[in-house]
Amino acid sequence: MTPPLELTSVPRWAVEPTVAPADPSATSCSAFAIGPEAAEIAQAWAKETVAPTRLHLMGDLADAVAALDADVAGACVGWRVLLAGSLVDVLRLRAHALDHGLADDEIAIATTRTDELALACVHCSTVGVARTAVGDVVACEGCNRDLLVYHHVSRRKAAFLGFQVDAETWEA
Amino acid sequence: MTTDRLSLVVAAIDDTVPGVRSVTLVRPDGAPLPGYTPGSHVTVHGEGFANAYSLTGDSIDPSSYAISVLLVGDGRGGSRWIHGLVTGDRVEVAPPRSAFPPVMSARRHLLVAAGIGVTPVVSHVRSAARWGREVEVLYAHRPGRGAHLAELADLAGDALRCFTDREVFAAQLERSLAAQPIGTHLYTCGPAGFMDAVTQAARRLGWPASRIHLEHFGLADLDEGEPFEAVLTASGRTVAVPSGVSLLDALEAEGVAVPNLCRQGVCGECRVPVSSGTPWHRDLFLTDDEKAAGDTLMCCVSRATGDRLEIDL
Repeated sequence: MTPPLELTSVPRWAVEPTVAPADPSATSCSAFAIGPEAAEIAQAWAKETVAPTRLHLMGDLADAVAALDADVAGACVGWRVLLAGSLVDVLRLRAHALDHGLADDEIAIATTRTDELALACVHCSTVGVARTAVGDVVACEGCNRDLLVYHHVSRRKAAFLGFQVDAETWEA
Repeated sequence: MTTDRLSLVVAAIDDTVPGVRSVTLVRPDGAPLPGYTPGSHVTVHGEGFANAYSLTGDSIDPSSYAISVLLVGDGRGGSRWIHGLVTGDRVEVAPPRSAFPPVMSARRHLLVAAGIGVTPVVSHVRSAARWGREVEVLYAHRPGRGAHLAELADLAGDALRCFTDREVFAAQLERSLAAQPIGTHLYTCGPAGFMDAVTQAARRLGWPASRIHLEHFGLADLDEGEPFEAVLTASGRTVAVPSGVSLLDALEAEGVAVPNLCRQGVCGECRVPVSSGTPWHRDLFLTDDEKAAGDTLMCCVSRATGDRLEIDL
């Protein structure tokens, strides 16, 4: 059973496509979009923000990470980042932003789709991407165990926690 | 960790800075004292008062605790008592508590202090120097009244800037706040109005709440408030709380013991559960959400909105 989301580490935007508003108190922003649908959201953000906003419309995660790295280098406190893309991509981009020392209240997120997620297997450490949802069971890409998609998402690993669904009753 | 009070003696007194007394406290047998997180304070229990003072000495394996106390003529008597101490006097101290620690994940630390509010900043800077953390220190004080100046200059070097002119300080504060690399955290300590001004400047310059940290000395003089009744649901008793008397004082006068430390709405020790009635929150401890929930209050400073409050005691 999944408890209310707000009691877990799973944000609302990780279970349904959601667009967070841009923080009006920012003094500068960078908006990063991965994919065409995300690009529209980032463009809307750039119009919404009063502060100067750099727009990075990228085709894939690697390009977005590189753009984030470049913008972080000269950024001062007052800067906000806005991340738009699929759940799998924005979680990874967010992990990268957090690694740079950005705080949760400096990061706005928009998800274009949440039907696929990254799942970290606690048994074999494989991180796979699967079309599944919190509370469902899916086979691990690495060890083929049936994993329960638990209501925990790692900020650092950018992946949900998966463990063998029948671990308590399974006999070797 | 022990919460038993430490019985210490005054080992040294320094009155070099006018109005400010620095006191070094040690155990009578010279044994080491509990270490603490930079920015921590101790509560000194004197005759009829208990005041929190920031520790300014070395926080690792300390053999003494150092505090610096500004003489406040119209205060609650704590500073006058401390300014009357002589070497060898006994002082009862509750062990250090941390409410203003450096954020260990910060890339850089901007420390902004005014007046005697420099005391927790001294221990931050000391720790930063030891561990090689990057700091910038802005210290505003009245001419000739700056405390710990030589020590700060020694520890922070060029990273320290002192100000005796309000406008010069305000201009530098704006410049510093606008130019901190992402990952910097801001810490401020001083009079309430000073910290408000620093916080407002930071917010105006886009600082998010998570990067701003305040060390409160306690509250300015509070309104005496209207009288009300506290109904203790567990014991079935009713305690009258007159105007000008805190709920904590009223409870204690009736023999109801409530754990407490600072008695000024800072430490969070005297939190009591509320089952009915609307609290008038005046503390600095509870979050806005906790205050809005209305099911708990800090009885040292907070009162009832209305004439009745039910407390689960």
